[in-house]
Amino acid sequence: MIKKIVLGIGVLFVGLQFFRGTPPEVTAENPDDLLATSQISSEVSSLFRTACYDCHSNETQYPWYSYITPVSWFVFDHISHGREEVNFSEWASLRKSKKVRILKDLAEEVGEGKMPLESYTIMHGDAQLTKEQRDLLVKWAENFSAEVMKE
Amino acid sequence: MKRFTLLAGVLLLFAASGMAQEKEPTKILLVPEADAGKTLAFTLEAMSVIEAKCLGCHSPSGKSDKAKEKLQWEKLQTLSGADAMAMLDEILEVLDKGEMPPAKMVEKYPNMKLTEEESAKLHKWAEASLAKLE
Repeated sequence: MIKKIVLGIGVLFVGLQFFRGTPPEVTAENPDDLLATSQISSEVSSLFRTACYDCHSNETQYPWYSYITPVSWFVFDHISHGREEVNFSEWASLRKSKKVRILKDLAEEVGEGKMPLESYTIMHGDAQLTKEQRDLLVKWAENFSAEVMKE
Repeated sequence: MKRFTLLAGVLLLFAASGMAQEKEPTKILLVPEADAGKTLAFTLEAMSVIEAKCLGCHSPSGKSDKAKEKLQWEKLQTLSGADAMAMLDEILEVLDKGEMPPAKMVEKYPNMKLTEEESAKLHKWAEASLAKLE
């Protein structure tokens, strides 16, 4: 009986792999990208890449397990939603008010520890930000917002 | 008989004072465009929509804490610079997506739904206010 259940689960698991879903597209060329179009220190850039860019840019680095169903459903949906909210690869094409709003939200959510999401940092330990790193990003967002306001 | 008259009088007095203390309908001091002292002012047509469809929740006496935390129109008019710009951007997005009033509320009170005309009035006001800030 147990053998049959295990076999059934195995067959179901293999069958599910045919319904993986479509991963949000990754593009190498992103001329409007925030880091490509703005003068940002290497320290802040590096934080963006490790803590934000997988979900909030077109340069997502998919880990191997993200292609396995049902994890793929969660990851693909999560990234689509993340990009819809904020996509730093489209930065230069955004309206000034949208940029200012993103920077305000960034300062707030990173400052309060709401971003990066815990569900992400569990699997990406390097994306877990220290207090100093959070402060650095918050300060950067405030200063950069002032720059954007002058545009 | 005298006692009865006295008691009735006292009761009437109580009732009258109760009525006087009864909450007046929410009267929000949205500042019209003519008031140059404020950063964000409202057009009369925007004010009429906001008062009819938004203030029930998005004012200090609003019923929902979440709604109050998210936006209070009275406070909005005191914002300036980046804060005002960010809030107007969000208002435009909410209008474009038709997210307000929330579907649940509209289901319960269908007359609270923003008509296309009302949404356009708010949109026009928000765009014009943003243009001034940008």
